Amino acid sequence: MRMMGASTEETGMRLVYLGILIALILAPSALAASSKDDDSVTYKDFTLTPGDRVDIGDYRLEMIEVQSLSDGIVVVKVSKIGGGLEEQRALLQNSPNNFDDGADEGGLTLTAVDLPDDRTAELRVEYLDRLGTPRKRAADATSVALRDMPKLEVKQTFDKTQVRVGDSIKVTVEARNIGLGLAQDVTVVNQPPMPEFTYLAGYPPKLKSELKHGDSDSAVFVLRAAQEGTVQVPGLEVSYADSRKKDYSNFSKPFQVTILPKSKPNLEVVVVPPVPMDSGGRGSMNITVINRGDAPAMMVDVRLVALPDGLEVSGVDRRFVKIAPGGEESYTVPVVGKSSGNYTINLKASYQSEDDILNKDTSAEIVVKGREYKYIYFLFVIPTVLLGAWIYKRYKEYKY
Amino acid sequence: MLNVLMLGVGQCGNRILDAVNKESFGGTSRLAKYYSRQKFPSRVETLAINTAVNDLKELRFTAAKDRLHVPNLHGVGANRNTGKQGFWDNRDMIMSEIERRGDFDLAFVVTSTSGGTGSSFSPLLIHELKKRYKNITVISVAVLPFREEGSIYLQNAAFSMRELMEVDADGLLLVDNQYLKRCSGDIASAYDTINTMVAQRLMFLIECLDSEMLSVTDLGDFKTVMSGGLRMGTMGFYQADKHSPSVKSAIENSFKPGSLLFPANIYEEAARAMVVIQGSKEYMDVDEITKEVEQLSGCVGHVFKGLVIKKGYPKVLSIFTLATVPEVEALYAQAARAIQEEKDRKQRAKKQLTDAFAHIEDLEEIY
Ligand SMILES: Nc1nc2c(ncn2[C@@H]2O[C@H](COP(=O)(O)OP(=O)(O)O)[C@@H](O)[C@H]2O)c(=O)[nH]1
Ligand SMILES: [Mg+2]
Repeated sequence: MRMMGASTEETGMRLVYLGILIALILAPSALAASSKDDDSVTYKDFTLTPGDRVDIGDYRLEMIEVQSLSDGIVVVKVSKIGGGLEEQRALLQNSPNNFDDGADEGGLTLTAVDLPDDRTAELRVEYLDRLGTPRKRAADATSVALRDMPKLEVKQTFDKTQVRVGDSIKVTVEARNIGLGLAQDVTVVNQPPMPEFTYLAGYPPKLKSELKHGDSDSAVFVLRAAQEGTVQVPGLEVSYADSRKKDYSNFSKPFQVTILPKSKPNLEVVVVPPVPMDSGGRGSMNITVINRGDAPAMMVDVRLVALPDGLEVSGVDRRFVKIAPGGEESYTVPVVGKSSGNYTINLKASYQSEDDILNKDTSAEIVVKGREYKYIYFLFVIPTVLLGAWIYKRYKEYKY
Repeated sequence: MLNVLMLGVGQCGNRILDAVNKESFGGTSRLAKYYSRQKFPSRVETLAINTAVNDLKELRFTAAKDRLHVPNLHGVGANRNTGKQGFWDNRDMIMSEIERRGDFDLAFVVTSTSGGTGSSFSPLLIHELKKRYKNITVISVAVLPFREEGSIYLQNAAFSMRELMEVDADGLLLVDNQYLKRCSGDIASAYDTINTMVAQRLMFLIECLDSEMLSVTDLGDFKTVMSGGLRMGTMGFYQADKHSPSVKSAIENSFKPGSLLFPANIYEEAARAMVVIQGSKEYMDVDEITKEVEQLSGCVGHVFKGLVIKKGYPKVLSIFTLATVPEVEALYAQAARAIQEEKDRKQRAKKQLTDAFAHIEDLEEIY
């Protein structure tokens, strides 16, 4: 088919297949159209980059730029030799645009059928047969304006997007000239500092002041996270000018960084007291120190704070140089109950984090039974049972 | 020591009996049965009899062994004929349950006159008691309905009162729900108030009859009072307090309509009376008491007087039999009207149906 012939040049295999498909679908009507007289509408697809032109009859079509790849917008300019039409328009992908009332009325109808990348658009041009064969002119013959226009793509990246307070972040700023012209006076626009960070080194970043078509440059600076929270990092602005000193600027994409609180050790001391022992009896007490935090605990000192008179306990005081997050240390010490009673013993664990000294207090009950224990118990239980039995008896007596 | 039998028959009788049992616990706390003991002035046996098992279950202070369910397949439904049949069918069971409790000198049969069970059982029960216990004194405590409770209740009250009078009971103590309407708000608490009033009077009466002190009344006196006039009477009660501990006003107050259980004008309608006064010695001014009693005797045929010295403010119980009972007469007139209306209604309904059937008299079903 004729449109197959049109899709020449650097069209990929993908387009070929698409073309065949469209051809098959349109075959009957296309044939019908071409077999009619000269007034029938026909079309042709062109793959264009900025500056490329297509001439059809008196019409000239020029591709200006792909304005937005994600939104599917391409800007074209259509003019008519001898005046009467000179219009620049943004085309939305897949919606036909009429110029001079469209192909049916002798004008043009343009549709952006595909935007393979941010410099390429595939345009469908519809026109009356009698306008003759359209001809494409590559960009080198384009307007001075386009050839001179630089365009910087700006990127700002953090080496991590989740950090803790105190962590440092390496930020890379990169500018690439994707326009045709030379970019001059390339400058990173100074922004007010973000309060969540302290700026350590390399700020404000400096880029090469001139970037040719296709060139790029990057700079690095270092931040330190200072406050926890979720931070919206705004787009970074880079300003530049073309060879005629016209100013432009472009932004990087904004993004989010999460700053978590500083990591800390957090010790838990678990004491398993001995089973109640008789006075004079022996038992053993188990002590476990667990680091439930997310930073190592250093120089962990466990000490017995106060020992009641009726108890003998030894070997509680220990030192551990380091307990890793999630790690634990456990040991057992002997206890001797000298006289009966309920005792409370207090333990203190002190330890260090990176920049702090922390303490943890724990206490445990130790029971030393006396002889009268059981007797007291029965003194309580027997009356309760008797009372219960009495109430139940009365209840039965008056329950019908 | 008196042997006293108290029977509560039917729902109303059961409840008043429960109030008596509550009084015996001291009459205050709902939980008394768990920690306190029942204390009666004499040997008192209580028995609640009913065909409705739910009414028995509702009781709180009556021991389970003192609740007697008379099985009657469909209940009694305020129909006294069904009730009587139920009594005959279970007579031996009921009487043996009573006889198991030993011998008795005095029996109270507490019942409503207007319901089904109590009003039909009670006359027959009294008859049986009289037959089986030769020397027993039987007093029925009969509760009259609210007049608005409907024609069946009125009719039941009329007929059952007549039966209660015809059997050889030794007297009838009336309690009029209508008269006690002024008690308080909702029906449940009004019933409770009435029941407690009845229970207090009965407990005090037993105590007075059984007291071994001088100058007191005994069962014989009580019988004499009850056999006076129409053999129908009622009870008044008053308890003085520290604001006015005067025995004189306590006696006068116990005669007042507000203290009675049935509307009567004591000074004009009473036939015989018994007045029992209890209290600490310092309040018991004998002269004043004598004067008050003499004043009453002037209007009433005979007045028995009892004095009981017991610590506390004066407490007065007065028992009367009446020579005329306009209120009962009014109730019979009302009942008669109600029965007549009921009859007319039935006849009208019957006629209507006959007229309706007349339409198809000469016709046959066609298919
Ligand atoms: N004073 C008093 N009257 C009651 C009580 N319960 C029911 N009544 C009255 O008793 C009559 C109904 O009789 P009821 O004893 O329920 O019938 P029965 O159970 O079939 O004998 C009605 O006139 C009620 O107003 C009560 O607790 N106290
Ligand atoms: Mg009832």
